[in-house]
Amino acid sequence: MKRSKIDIVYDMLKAVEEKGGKIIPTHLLYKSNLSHQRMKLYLEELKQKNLLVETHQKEKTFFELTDAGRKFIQDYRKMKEFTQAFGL
Amino acid sequence: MVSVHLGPSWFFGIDATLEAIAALIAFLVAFAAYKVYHVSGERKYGFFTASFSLLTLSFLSRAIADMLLENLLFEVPQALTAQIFLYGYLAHILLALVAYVILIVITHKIEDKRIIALLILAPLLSLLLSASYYISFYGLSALFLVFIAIAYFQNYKKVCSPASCMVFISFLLLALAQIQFLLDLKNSTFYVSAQITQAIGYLILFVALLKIRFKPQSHEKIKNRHRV
Repeated sequence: MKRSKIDIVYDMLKAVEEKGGKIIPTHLLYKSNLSHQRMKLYLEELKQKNLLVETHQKEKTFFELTDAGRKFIQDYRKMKEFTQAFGL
Repeated sequence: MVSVHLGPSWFFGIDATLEAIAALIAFLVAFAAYKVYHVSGERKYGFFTASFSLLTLSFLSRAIADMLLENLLFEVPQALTAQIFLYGYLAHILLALVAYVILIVITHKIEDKRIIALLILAPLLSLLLSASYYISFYGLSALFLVFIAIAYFQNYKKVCSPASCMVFISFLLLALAQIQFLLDLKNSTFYVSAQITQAIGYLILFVALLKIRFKPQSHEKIKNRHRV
């Protein structure tokens, strides 16, 4: 079944959480099951919404989960059930 | 000429309270939908938020109008009662109708802008041309809510969750309430039963929200819901 936007955001944030809250872009690309271009678009939006932050360590780029991102993961089940209950 | 129509005098205050409660519950649904819209940015969640926000304002205006007409806040001059009824109920009617149209568009996944325009214009026209906007409103509302309830029944069959079942029952009761409001003109007992049915409909919606908030289904159950 086609994933909704919330499902994709959840899958991305969950992938970061499972990696201890920090992930490199390549791992995120594999885990999120998105094309490189789509992942870039989603990452921009997640950074804008402060669900992820981009950090740099030893010339490597990481994406870290924020508190807001953790909260989204916790609230995902509620949001998903809400959208399903109301047929959205 | 506008004739003010209220329920039985012993029900004064109770109806306004029930309408205020409906407004509060509609606001809670709108707020929950807004949180989803804020995260996803998808238009359908924005429209859903707008729909329940309009319902909030609709019931709020009706509750305030009823409180004023029933002299619950202060003594209203007789000369003003017709105007309060007209504008208060007109706001209630227009806001509710637009809210129901948005819900129809969302639940039936209508994308054709011409159909959407028709859904908005046809009820407005019928209201303007009718001899009683009170009767037209409840007739139209009943029709819209029946279609919305059917859509939610199909959603419940697809999703099979307790919350979706409650949403379906809620809208079925709201549709039933509108039919009772129509019968109210023949017998004022129906006004009371209509208000109670409507209140129960909104209470069930509130229970569905509580269930989602405090006892959401597990992620596995949500994911596997469509794999039958």
